[in-house]
Amino acid sequence: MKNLKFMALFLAAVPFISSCSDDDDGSPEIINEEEVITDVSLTFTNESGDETTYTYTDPQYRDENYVAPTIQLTSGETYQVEANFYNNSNPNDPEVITEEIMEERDDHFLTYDFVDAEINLTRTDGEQSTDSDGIKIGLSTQWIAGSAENGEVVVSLIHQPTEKITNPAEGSFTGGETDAQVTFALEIQ
Amino acid sequence: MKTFWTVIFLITLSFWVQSQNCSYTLKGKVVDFHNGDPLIYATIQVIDSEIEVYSDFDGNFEINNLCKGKIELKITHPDCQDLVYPILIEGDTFEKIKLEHHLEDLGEILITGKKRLQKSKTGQEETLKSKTLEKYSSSSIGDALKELSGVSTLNTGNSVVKPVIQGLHSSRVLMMNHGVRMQDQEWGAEHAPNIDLNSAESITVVKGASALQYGGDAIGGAVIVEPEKIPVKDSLFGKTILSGSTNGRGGSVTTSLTKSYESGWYGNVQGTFKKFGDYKAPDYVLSNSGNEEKDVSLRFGLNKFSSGFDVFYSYYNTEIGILRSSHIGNVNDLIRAINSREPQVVKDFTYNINPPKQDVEHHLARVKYYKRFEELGKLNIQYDYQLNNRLEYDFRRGDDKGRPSVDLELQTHTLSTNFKFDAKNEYQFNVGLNGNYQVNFPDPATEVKRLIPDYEQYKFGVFATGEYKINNDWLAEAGLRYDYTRLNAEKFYFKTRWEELNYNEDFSDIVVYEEGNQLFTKPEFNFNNFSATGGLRYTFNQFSLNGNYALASRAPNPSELFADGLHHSAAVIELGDIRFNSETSHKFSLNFSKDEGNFNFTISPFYNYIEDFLLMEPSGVDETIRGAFPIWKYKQVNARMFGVDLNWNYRISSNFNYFGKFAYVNGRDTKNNSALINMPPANLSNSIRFQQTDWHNLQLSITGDFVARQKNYPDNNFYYDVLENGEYQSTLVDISTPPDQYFLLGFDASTTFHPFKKGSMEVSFYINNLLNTSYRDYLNRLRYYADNLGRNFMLQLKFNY
Repeated sequence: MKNLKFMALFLAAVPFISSCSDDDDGSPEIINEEEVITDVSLTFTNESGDETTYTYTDPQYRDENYVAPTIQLTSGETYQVEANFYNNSNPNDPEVITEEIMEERDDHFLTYDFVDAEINLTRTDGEQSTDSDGIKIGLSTQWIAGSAENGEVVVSLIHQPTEKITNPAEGSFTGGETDAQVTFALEIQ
Repeated sequence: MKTFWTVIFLITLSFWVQSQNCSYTLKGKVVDFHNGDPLIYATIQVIDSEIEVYSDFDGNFEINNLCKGKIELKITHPDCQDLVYPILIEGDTFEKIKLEHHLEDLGEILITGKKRLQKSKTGQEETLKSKTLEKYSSSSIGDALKELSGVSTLNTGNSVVKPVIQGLHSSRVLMMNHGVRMQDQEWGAEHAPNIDLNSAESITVVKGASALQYGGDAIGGAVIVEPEKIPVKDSLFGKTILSGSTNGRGGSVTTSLTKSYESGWYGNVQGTFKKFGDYKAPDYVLSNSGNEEKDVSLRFGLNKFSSGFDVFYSYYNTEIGILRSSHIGNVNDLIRAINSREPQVVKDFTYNINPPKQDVEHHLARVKYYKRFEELGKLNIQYDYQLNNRLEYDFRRGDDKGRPSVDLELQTHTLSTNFKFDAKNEYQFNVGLNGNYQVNFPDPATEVKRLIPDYEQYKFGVFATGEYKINNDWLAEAGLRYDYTRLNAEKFYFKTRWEELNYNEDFSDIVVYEEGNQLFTKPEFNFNNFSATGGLRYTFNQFSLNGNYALASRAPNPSELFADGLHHSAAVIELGDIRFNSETSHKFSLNFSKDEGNFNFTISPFYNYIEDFLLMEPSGVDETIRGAFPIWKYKQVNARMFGVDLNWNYRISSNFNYFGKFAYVNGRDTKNNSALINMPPANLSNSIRFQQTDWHNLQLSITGDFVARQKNYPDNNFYYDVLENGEYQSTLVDISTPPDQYFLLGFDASTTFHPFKKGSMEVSFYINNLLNTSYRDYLNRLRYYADNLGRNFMLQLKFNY
């Protein structure tokens, strides 16, 4: 008898089981990644105050009009350079990530590596991008272009390095992992 | 109850008073409930008298000179449960008495060693019993399974441990937990089984697909976790194990309490808690490798002669830290990590678990009902529900700190039924059906692209297996199974990826709409899978020889179909393909064993040919804003594997025993004529055990494990231009070369005391990696970043009460 009751209970549960398959709660929503970096830009201000911005876009977020940027500098000229990081994954809500990097400046560090290009680089970060150990993380730099040459610069954003080394000023590190690493072509005339 | 007996007594008395005619004869026959076979030498006692007779060769018995009235017979038979049988004597009487003959199903404790039910009579299988499992109480099920020859583990650090059976793992290994097929995102190489080892009484590994009743896709094999058999008698008993380890500075506590009644009712409650901080390799702390686990399970039911039910619920929760140094950004980081030979981040010991980490929850609920039919068999009906929630945490910035990057919720409902015809001694049949509905929900709140898309999956399976006992020496076994799988997915693709995979040519019809640079698609899949098995067993003298063929077929898993993204600890981009079809395996296995006498052995060679074997291969480099990443694409090839598992032991004297085991597997991709990746290297283990029962059952053993260097591996190394001092240097990225061979020494000691009136206390002491050897294991996915664990001392107290 007890078993019969149990059986009945069990069978009563079956429609509940099958009913679960009916509740399709609509289509999944699109995800525009929140903290992904889609663009890295370098803004150059020359001695006469002219501003030029070069932007590298992640291959997955490029449109048909995208052209790989080539930084053009004049030999002997001094430039103030600002690095910026953006999340444009949601075209309706572009986001500047640079601010977050500044807030978490203890956890971040930028390095600049030059290939076939002679650039005299100094870190010129203000308070907002200088970490608690007094290390300028490299969002703001000053570049003095050397002799005419065609080369490239690799800009890296490092997360949680164990050690941030600013001598030489281009920067190197130990530990941590790379959040962004992009290569810009560089032409010095 | 008392009144009942009083009434009986009064009735009996009144009959006795009424008449003193004591010349009646009771003739009877004792038979097996299941098949009606006569039971020989059953003892028939008339309760409250001196009368005792035995059944003869035909099960018949006769009791003379009975008085009119009610008597009670107590029937006992060595293989059966005792039965009290009331009879009313009103003249010469004939009675047929049916005895329950299947004690192992009833959970009697009498059952020992060989009487255990085998899952596959002709395939290769091995079982771990509670004594061995208890040793691993504070570690994982994967670590315990490594005790079996031919079973190795695929690790991600030391807390994510997956069993590898004869070279195969993940979706190719089926896990049955308390009769339920685990649906715990087992496709992931970094997803450990969500099972509390402490809830198991025994774990059986079937090496191959010969146990068809569980599934037809177990190309690697099946791991069957079974709970304790609860006796049908009035009892209350429990077990508590406390373990403490020096490495990880942590330990575990597990406890189980069982109450059972003569009437068949029973209940059990069990729980486990584990906590470890950062583990240590011989030379450094493995930062962020701690783990914490909380498990609880409840079980109750009724275990009766002819029918019964069982209700089981378990909750499993684990939080596992992933080695900090293994979280890397791109190929440059990988090169730095590999070439430095030491972890990039080593901090002081801590119990804190920070990202990267996994936080996984698994709920399992099951109700089972069975009914036995006289001279026919047993019907089982089962419904189970599983809810698996996997959270993975990465480093995140700003508002997203503390938010998981992966949040997968997998729900599975299964209804299954089978009927086992076991009435005949010569043959048995088992036929069954099962239906399964599964829904996967990746929570968009992570705001990270979904690792696995939303999907709904319907499965239907039907099987028939049978065995035939040809004579005392020969046994034949065969089975067939069919599975249908329907999978409806909803996935967003980046347009660039969609075109890169040429889906725009083949699958334009599944695109629903386009938004920005993404496409919303609805891929649908149908898979029909057939599986079959057949085998023979021949027993002669002390030897037994089995041969088995198993055909298994597995539909591609969600990762193989949909993988599309960056894998942080490997610095690779993994890509699946929705064009894949099922993989099919043909496995031939032999098992030759001797299990009596001082020298025992088992030799188990196998050959496995797998068509359309799914594996990952490097295929170019993808440039992203994070830098470059090698792309690994899933491909379908043909594979063949062969190998052998050996076990042997020798009883040197009554105090000394020697045990040895060896396993070898060789895997090849026959399409590309190259070695298969991640094949376990050959391994040999030897141990000597001393035991003296008189000295509080003292046991001492010393074990040496040797793991060879894997010489057969595919060379996926590549060169990458690394920028150093303003110049690009072509640098070798050695991701393929297996680590060197290693030898580990272990020691364990245990002794049992009886400090209480009832029960016992066992004290055990273990040393792992006694020589504090620095080594890396080929099957550890974090081998690029750090050494394996150093020496560990563990003290364990076990109370039985």
